Amino acid sequence: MSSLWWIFASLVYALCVMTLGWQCRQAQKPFVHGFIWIVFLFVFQSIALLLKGLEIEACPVRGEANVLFYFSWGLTLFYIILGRPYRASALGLFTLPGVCLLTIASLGLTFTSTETPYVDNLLLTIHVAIAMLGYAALILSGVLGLIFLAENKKLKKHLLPSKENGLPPIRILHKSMKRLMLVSFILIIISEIFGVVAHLDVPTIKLWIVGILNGAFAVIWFWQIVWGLSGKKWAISSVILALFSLSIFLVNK
Amino acid sequence: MICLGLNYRTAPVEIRSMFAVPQHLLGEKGKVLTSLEGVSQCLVLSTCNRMEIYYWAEDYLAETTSSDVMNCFLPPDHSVDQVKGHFYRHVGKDALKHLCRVVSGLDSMVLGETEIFGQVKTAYQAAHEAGVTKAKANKTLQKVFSIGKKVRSDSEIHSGATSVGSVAVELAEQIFGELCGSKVLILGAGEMSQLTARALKARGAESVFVANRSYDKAVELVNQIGGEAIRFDEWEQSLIDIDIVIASTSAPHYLITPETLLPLRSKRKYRSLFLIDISVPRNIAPEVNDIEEVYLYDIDTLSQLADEARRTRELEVARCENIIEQGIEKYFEDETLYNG
Repeated sequence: MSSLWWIFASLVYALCVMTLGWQCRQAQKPFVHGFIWIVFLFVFQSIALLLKGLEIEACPVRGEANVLFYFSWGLTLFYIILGRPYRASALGLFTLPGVCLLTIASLGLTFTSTETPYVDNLLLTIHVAIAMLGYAALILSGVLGLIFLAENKKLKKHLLPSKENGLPPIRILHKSMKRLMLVSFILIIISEIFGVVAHLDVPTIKLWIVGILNGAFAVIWFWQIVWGLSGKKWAISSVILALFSLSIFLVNK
Repeated sequence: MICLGLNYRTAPVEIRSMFAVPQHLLGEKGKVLTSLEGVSQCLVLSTCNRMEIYYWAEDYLAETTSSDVMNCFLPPDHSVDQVKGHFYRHVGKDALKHLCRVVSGLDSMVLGETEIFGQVKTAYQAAHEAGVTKAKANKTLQKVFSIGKKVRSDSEIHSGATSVGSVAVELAEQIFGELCGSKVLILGAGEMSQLTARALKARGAESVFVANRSYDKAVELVNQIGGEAIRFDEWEQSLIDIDIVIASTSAPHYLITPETLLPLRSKRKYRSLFLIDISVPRNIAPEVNDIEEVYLYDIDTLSQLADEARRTRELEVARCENIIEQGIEKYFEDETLYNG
C-alpha cells in the first residue's frame, strides 16, 4: 500500500475518533481509551511518513504537502508526550481537528501543486525534519504562553475564569511551557549538529536567527537555574521566541 | 403519583430531623408504606433539607391515605395534627413537576446544587432493591432523571461556585490544577478559615499548617481537620513551601506585605502563591497582588464572585422550568400514545 493510502486512512481514522470523542463530550461521558485511539493514529501517520520516505528514498519532509502532514504528525506526537493535563485541556481537545485540517490541506496540495524535487541528502533532510519539530514545539510553547498571559490577567483582575473553557490551570501551563521550550531547544541543537555535519551552505541571516534563538534559550535556562523565573516571564519569553522563530521561515535559501 | 413532604422552607430543623430517615432504612420505610391499603409503590427521599414521600395510590383524592403515610414516619408521642401544617402535597402532574425541580436543584437551598441528583438516585436504588417500585414508578423516575440530566446539560443552572469556600476552591484549581500535593497555611483558627481549609482538603490539598496566636487553639483545629500546628512566630518561615494561605486573624494590621514576600520569591522559585484574606480588617496588604506569581483574593471579592454565580443561576431558572415543562409534556404524550 502506498503512503497516500495511509495518509487517507489516517484522515478517515482521525475523523472517526474525533466524531466519537465529540459524541462522548456531548453526552457528558468520558472518552474511554481516547489516549490509545490517538496512539493508533500516531502509528498510522508514522507508517505513512515511513512509506513516503521509502518511496522517494529520502527524508519525507520536503515540499509544502509533506511538511503539512509532518506538522499533523507533530501535533499527535505532542499530544502523546505532553502529559495528561495538556490532553485534558482545550489544546488537547483541538489536536484531532488540527490533525484533520492539516491532513486535508496536505492532501489538497498533493493533488493540486507540482511535486517538489527531493534532495538526495540524508543529513540535510534529517536536519530539516528535526528542526521543523523543534520550531513546532516552540510555537506551541508560544501559544501556551499567550493562554497563560490571558488566564493570569483574569486571575489578577479577580475575574473567575470559567471552568468550562477547558484551558489548563496556570501551574500546568507554566510546566508545559518550560517542557516544550526545553524540547524545542534540544531538537534545534540536534538539527544544527546534523546541519554542520552535512556542511550546509546556510545564509548568514539564518545563522544569525538560529544564533540569537540559541543565545536566548541559554540565557533563559541559566536565569531559571540560578535565580528562577516567574510564570509570566516564561510566558512572555515563549511568545517572543515563538514569534521570532517564525522569521526563519521567511528567509529563502 | 402523590408527593407528600416537608423541606427547609416549610419546616424548622427540629421538625425535619423528627422525620429524617437514615439511608440504610429507606427501603424498610418503603416496605412499611406499601403495606398501607391503597399504596402500591413508593419512594422515600430524606436529606438534611427535605423529607419527601412519593407514592402511587389508588385513590388520589383520599386525605386519609396522606395521614396514614405521615403516621408511618411520626414518632410515637406526636400526632398528625401537630405537624400537618408543615407538609405540602402535590398530586399527578404537579408531583412529577416537583420531583423534576428537586432533581434539577431548583428547589434546593443552594440553587442548582448537584448533590440532590445523587441523593434521589440513592433513594430510588434503595426503593428498587426493597421491591417497592414497579413498572409505573420505574418509568416515571427514569424520565425524571433524564429531565434532570437535560436541565444540567442545556442550562447554566449548575455553573459557578456559590459560596466563599467553593469559590476559593475553584480559584485554587484554576491556579494549581489538581490540589493533591498543595500545601495550605491557615493564619487564625476562625470558622470561615476552617470551612475553606476543609473544602480545600476535600479536594486533595496535601498538608494543612495552622498558626494561631493561641497555640492551643491551633492544635485544637488541627485535631479536627488534620495537619500540623505551628507557633505564630514561625509561620513566615513556612511560607517558602506553601501554595495557599488563608488569613483570618483579628490582627488590626497587615500580617503579609510585599516586604514579607519579596525576599522569599527566589527561594520559592517563583512558584504561584494563592492568598485568601477573609479577615476584617484585612490581614494582607493589597499591594502583594502586584507581585507576578501572587494571586490575592479578599472576602469581598470572593463574596462578589459567589453572588455573581448565584445571579447567573437565578437567571437560568426560567429556562430550566421550560425544559422541565417540555419534558413532562412529552412524557404525558408518550403515555397517551402508549395507553392507546
